[in-house]
Amino acid sequence: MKITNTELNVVRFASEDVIATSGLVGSVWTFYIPASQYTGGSYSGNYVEFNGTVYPYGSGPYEITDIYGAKGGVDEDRDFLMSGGTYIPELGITLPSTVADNLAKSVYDAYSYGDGRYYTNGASYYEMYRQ
Amino acid sequence: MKLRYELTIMDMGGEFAAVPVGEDAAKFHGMLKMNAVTADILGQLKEETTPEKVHAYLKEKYPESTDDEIGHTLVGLLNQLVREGLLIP
Repeated sequence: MKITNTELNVVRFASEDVIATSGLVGSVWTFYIPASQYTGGSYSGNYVEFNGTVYPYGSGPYEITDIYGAKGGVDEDRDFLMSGGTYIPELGITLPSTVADNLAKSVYDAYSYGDGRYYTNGASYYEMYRQ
Repeated sequence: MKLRYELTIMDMGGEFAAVPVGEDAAKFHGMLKMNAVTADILGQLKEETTPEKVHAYLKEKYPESTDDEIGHTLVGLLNQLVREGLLIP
């Protein structure tokens, strides 16, 4: 028997209210985004880690800019926009649009929990630490 | 790696669904719909494990699949689970 493609649909119910957003924009956060790769018959855990500041961006909700302290092949001269995939060539992985787009909501939700830590309901997984 | 939430996985007649139980029901407001392969893999992620161990399990269950087929299928699901906040890497 051969393995078939996996199918997974995550259904989220109504999210909780955001408590507060003051201090979110203009604050510096550390972002840690893990990912796995399978190449050459073995698994490896890769990650993207960087520090950045959250700012409003155009018609979208947020962007992460003024990036520094990057690890895992992140280009410190490149801002992370809230739409479109971002390819990390050194790792051979792409942060897909859903990741980038949901990051804004993660930033919004994470701050509402007061301790500056990571994502919560209805968003993708990022660890965020307030500087 | 391990599932972030304790889930009950149910066979709905060919399709599968998973819901959080206990205290995790208050943390994850939602449910998962999946096929049999995904349900099988999620079952392997309920306890702390590694990609290699899950790969070995799948290799035994799907002997006609190559290592590459299993590896790419598994890592695709693992990354989706991480992006959805459902897996602690």
